[in-house]
Amino acid sequence: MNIHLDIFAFLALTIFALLILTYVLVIQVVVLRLVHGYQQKKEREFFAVWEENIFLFLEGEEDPRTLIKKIRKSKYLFLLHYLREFFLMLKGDDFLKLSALVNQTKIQPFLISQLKSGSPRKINEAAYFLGLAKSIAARDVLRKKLKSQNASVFLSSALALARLNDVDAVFDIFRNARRFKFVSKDSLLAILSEYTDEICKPLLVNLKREKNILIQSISITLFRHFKFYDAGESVLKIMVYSQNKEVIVESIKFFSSIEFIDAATALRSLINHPKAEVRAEVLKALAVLGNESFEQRIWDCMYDPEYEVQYNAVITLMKLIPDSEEKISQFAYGNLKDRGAAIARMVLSERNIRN
Amino acid sequence: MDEKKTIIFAEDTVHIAKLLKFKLEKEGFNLIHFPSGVGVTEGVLKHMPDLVLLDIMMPVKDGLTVLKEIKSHQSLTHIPVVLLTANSHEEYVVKGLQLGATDYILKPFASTELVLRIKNILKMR
Repeated sequence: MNIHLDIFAFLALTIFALLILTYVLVIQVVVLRLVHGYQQKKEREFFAVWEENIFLFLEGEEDPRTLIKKIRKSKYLFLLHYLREFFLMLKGDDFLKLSALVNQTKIQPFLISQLKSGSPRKINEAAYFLGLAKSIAARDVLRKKLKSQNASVFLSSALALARLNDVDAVFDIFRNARRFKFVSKDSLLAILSEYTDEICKPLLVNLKREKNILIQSISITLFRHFKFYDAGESVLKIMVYSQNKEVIVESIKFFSSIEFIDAATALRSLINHPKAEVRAEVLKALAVLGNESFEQRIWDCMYDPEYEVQYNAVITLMKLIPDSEEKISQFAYGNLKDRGAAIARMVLSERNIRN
Repeated sequence: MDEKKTIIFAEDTVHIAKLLKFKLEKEGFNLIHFPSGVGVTEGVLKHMPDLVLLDIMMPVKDGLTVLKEIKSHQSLTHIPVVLLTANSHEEYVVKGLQLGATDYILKPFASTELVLRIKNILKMR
């Protein structure tokens, strides 16, 4: 009897504790929603009052300090939230005026003091807006923040430095990125592509002695992004000796994007690479860099065990070899059971649909 | 006296839309704004504007779909359509021009340049 009572009491206590927990969570959600709603309301009120003043400022010759003097410090972040879309979508005179609103007024010291604070949320927000407004005055503080133990602070500072086009900071970004396991190649690329093409020269100088595969691969991707032809020869040397699939694939894509004909010979030897991804990429590049002397090698790829390679072989033949369509058609309909022929039929019908 | 030219424009970025409305109205245009591609073609049929300014990337219905709809109406083919798109989506510009767009403007853009381009297109008509 006592055992039953104990179990009953335990269950009742558990249910009671869960109910309390649910109640607390619901209250928390409601409070957060109310706070958010209140903030949004305040922002909307701010926009309604200041919107026209900002438009007139963008139109006219008003001193940015005159406009900012009228706005209370507590409302600076509302203004910055409002300007965010403009920073991202406007250029020329519009952008110069927008950045003057930050860089020539009290907003800049306000953001730099936020950047120096201990709160990651405040630091990230300040770094974001200082980067958007290209506030050179924040550069040294942002560089220090790259050493932060907090990954989000590192990322927001790196992004701001990239937007400032602080080329000297790029290797600090690489060095510090290694401390964080989840800072991926893609997130680094997203940040570094915010630089201008000025980043390419130092990356090229570094690439000649760089052994780190991630940095090699990112540098080559950025060369492709900026179509930096000067890196062609150095990347070719790296690709020839590299054992890394990613570096090889990125190199091939780069050659293709800048139409680097000198790479065609090296591609010939990669056509039999053990990795299918490399073979497929070689075929795509040959459509741009190859010539008729590659025809037989490409035909051989129609019998490759990988679908991706066979598919790109058909596409490349059609692009590279004039009048190849008839020969492909004979191959496609003469070997009905062959997988390569089935892929050729698919490509031909896709082409007919498009035409 | 010149009659006010009407521009229909579809842009989902609220503040940018308001800025463009402000700028173009100041230049003497009559602006009709749509926050997405929905209803734009019907709006064009109803108001017969002098120009349509279309953002390509919009929720629910994108700018290229709207452009296709506009160009499929015999009575609307003469209306110039200008596309507005992000720098990173230049491939859509080619598609847009193939579909019959008159011109395109890449984001980020200078608002003065946008106004001048619109004026030039309307002057040439």
